[in-house]
Amino acid sequence: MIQAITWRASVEEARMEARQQNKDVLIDLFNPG
Amino acid sequence: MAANTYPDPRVSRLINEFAVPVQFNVKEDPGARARYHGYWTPCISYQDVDGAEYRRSFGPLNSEQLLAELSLARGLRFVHSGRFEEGIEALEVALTYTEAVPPRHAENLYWLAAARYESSGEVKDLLDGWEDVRRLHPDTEWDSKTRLLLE
Repeated sequence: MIQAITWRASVEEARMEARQQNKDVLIDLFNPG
Repeated sequence: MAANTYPDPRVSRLINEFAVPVQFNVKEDPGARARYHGYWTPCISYQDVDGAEYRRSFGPLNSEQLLAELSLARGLRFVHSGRFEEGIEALEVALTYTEAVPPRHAENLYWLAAARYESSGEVKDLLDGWEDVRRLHPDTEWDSKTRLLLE
């Protein structure tokens, strides 16, 4: 089953989660216009 | 990208497989541009858990372009941290995605050859791989890089 992207709002929390899951971190900056 | 690229299930699957994603709306959080050195958006940065950046992209990407970027980023994240066996494996997987985006495919082949050489110590691994770059992607930036060293 494909899961939608759950964007986190904190890089520190993402790094902690990524460390636990042996993953990396993807940061996306966007301008909604 | 919010409307077309990120809803693509191929994209969400790859992001979820490789990384924990963080997103900043620079209108709501203008300081994010300076914190992450991205004044032009969209800006995507692929980092390890210690904050080391292995790839960065500016400007909108369609699904094929983002899949190629992400898969290449995953491979380079291993290659540039000296984990060559994992890099080779990831870059071989990336070929599936970069084939649809010729500039990234040329780059993929270039780094795959470099990773194989770093892993084996065999110059033949480098030369054979770079011959593929020159044959499949002549007159590209990556073809030029092979020629600067080989000629």
